[in-house]
Amino acid sequence: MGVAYVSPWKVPAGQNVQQNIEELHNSIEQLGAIKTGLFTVECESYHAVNVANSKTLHLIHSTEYPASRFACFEDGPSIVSDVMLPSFLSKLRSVWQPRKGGRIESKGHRYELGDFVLKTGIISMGPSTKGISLEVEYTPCVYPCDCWGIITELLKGFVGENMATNMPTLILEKSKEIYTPDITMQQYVELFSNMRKSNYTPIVCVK
Amino acid sequence: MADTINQAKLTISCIAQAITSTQQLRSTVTNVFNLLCEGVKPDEDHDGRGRDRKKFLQKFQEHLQAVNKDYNEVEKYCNSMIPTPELQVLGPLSHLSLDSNTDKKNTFRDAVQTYEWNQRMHEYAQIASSILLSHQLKRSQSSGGAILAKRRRALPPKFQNMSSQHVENTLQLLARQPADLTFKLIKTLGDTRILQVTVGRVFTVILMLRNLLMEKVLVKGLDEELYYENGTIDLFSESQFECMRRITDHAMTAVLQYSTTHATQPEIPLKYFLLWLQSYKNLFIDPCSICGKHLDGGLPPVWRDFRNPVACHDTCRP
Repeated sequence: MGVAYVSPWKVPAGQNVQQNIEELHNSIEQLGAIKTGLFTVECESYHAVNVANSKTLHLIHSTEYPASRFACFEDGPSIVSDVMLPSFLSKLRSVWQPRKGGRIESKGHRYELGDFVLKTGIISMGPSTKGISLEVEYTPCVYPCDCWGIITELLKGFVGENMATNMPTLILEKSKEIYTPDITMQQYVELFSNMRKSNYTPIVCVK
Repeated sequence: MADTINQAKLTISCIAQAITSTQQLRSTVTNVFNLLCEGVKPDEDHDGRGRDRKKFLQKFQEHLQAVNKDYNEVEKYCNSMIPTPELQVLGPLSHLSLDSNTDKKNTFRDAVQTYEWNQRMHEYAQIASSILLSHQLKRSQSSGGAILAKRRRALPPKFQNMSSQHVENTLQLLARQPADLTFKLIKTLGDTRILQVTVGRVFTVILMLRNLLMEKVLVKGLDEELYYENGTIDLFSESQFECMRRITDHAMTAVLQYSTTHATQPEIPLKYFLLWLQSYKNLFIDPCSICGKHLDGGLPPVWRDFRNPVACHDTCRP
């Protein structure tokens, strides 16, 4: 497990998501990356019953960690548990209930380039497509502050020189600590939350 | 055999030159006969017969001199040719050269070329063997014949007879010196020690030492497993990361380099190697000193020179 950066990919006006993701795949393959399979990140949101202004609990399942489930509170702590967590939550139906329309997922292809793992997914909520997600993971390094330069240099290879190079707040807070997979899941939670908002502008811009 | 082939090549060139000079001789002899056939021609400008005869004789003399010169040339080439015993030396293979189908099939030519390559390989092997034998440090325990075995018994490898206390003290001293390196002695099996060296926040190195002689290096990522499930150390599985596998290769080269060039004192190669490892502390931070970029084919600058260890891509090496 290395350091991962998750970002939305802006779909230009006049193009649909499918066309745009194919262009993105071409750009990644031109760098020399090899397609190594598929991936899915699913997020199910729960809210506390009978508690005013309660924080939303997001339950995440990623195919990269098939034996784990990540439970993240919005802007709060997160825990990593085993696959029994959803059944446990269903037993607590009187306290935690699934939110209506709270299921969102990102599904797509997984690429490998040297020690990099690149994941491009189409974010969809029910039947509607929300956008494109891009995850760049650099596997040999475990400290985000050390390999941020490497990650941004790779991104500039297919995003363009005008890409924002600031470290996201979620990574910045723990940039000098050992990176853990739950930070990636928190980035997905943030991305999914932003995607739900209609007037959201992605960080990564296309050339 | 190689000499025979070279001699044959020389003879062939001699034959070619002899043929040319024979043709030349034939042409000059023809000139002589033509002159004799034509006989004495009356001079158009001068009527004196004595003068014509003189001129004819002078011409005849010139032609004969040319014949003599060409004949000497042919004789010289014939004398320089030595009968070559190549066919006998090549043995049954030489009969291939007599085959009328040789021009169609290149078997004989290929066989001769193969022989030449084989000969060259023998020469290189002899040179390499003499270089290896002249070297003081013996890294290999493989038997190299009775003479080598005898020599090994007479001259035991260096740094073998060290007290355990001396090795321990030296390791403790070395562990204090380089910053950014964390040492951990994992196991001691007689003279063999397994050290775990962590380089900054970059990677972990498993170093196998026999007394102070480095025998194996394995570079692994910080989050990779170093032990088997039963708790024993894994000395053979390569790293799952490509950049760590490259660094392992470079580290083995560095071990050989420092062990052979700085073999005057037992601790010097190890000290130099640790200083070289220290140069990897900013592996993911420093860009390549040549091209100024972080990545080359998805890999960071993994190469470090043995004298001046600065960050450099494999492909950007000066």
